[in-house]
Amino acid sequence: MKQKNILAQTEPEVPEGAAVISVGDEDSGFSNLAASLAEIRKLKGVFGYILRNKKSAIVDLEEQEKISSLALLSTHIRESSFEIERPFNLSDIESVLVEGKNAKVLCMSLGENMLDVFMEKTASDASITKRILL
Amino acid sequence: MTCVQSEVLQTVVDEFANLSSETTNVFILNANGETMASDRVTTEEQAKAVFVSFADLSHQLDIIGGLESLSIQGATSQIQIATVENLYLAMISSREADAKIIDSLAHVLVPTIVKLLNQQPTKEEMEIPQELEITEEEPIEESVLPEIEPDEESALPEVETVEESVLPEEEPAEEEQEMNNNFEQESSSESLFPEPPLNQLMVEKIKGILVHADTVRVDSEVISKWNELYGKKDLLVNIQTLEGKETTCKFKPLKDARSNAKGIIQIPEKILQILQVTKGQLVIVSPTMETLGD
Repeated sequence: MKQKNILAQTEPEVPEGAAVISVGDEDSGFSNLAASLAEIRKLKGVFGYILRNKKSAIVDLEEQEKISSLALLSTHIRESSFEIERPFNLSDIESVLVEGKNAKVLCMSLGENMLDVFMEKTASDASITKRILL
Repeated sequence: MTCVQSEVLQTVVDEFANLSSETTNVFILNANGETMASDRVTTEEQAKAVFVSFADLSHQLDIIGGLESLSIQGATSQIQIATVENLYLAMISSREADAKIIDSLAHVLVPTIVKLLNQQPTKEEMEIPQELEITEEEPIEESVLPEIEPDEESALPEVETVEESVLPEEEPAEEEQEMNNNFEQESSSESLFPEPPLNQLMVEKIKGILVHADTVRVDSEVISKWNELYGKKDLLVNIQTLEGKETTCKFKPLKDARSNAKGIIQIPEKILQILQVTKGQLVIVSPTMETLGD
């Protein structure tokens, strides 16, 4: 079931049905990413994404009941990735891809903006990454 | 995991430097976080830190079906961690490393080796590895190929050929008969080995470290036909490329259970190099009784 709860409407192109939280003016980076993710969301195998920065967040997920679990999951992934890379001094983490048996998650940090794309294992994370970085 | 298995994994880890020079750290941990194999650069503390965080994360990922692999891309370096059966493989490499090679190592090579290691017999069974190696071919063939009864053998074309050639004219002159007999004796060894059938097969590469470098694996249907023709003789296979390169080697039936594995010949790296062929190319194979050179 699609998330229908729209908390606040903002200027950037936001897909119908996505949850949006905003407490300030949007920056252009966030708006551009929102637009890209809205397109990526239409790709086969992509079942949702979370885009957030300090001021705003957009959540577009197929299953509403999983919003909190998936948001928590992406936080765990980021924290653990930081712990894993620290002994090897990887410097800035650009992206993290986590694969489970049923699905995979792509987490990226672009400046202040953090995004997580949830997809089926068959979806092409490489092409999605490329599209986001365009 | 036994010492032998750990040694194999260490060999694999040592080979990583040759396979991907951009890889700076490689190590394999078991489910308890103990290092099974490691390069000489990674410290115990580094390996432990990775294990603790990875294990911690894997407990949080039930929602996506657990944690199979993790890939972290940094500005200049990247980390890949993959769960391989009951082990964890971690690789750190520069961003310039070939993604395909990294992926093959992490998701194909190491998993294949670990699977093979897990299928290894127990210590007691492993006490006669040399013997197994020498007699390996026969038991496999026996189990795969149907037995040919002596009665069936008489119906084989090779015998018919001999019988035909043994039927000379009714009353030949003695000299003529002697000549015929001599000729028959000379030619009978040839006629016992009828014209070998030619089969065109598609090349696949045999991967893994426990592969016999001098043995190819041939579609078992093809081998069955050869056995029907020649019985269970010590056959070798002659492989010829479309470019004319040729070699003779031992063969075994293809183990692959895939339904689309028909028409396939799996060749180890060494023979691929001799023939100068790669995966997907076609070769012509035929049975032969030639002996192998040293």
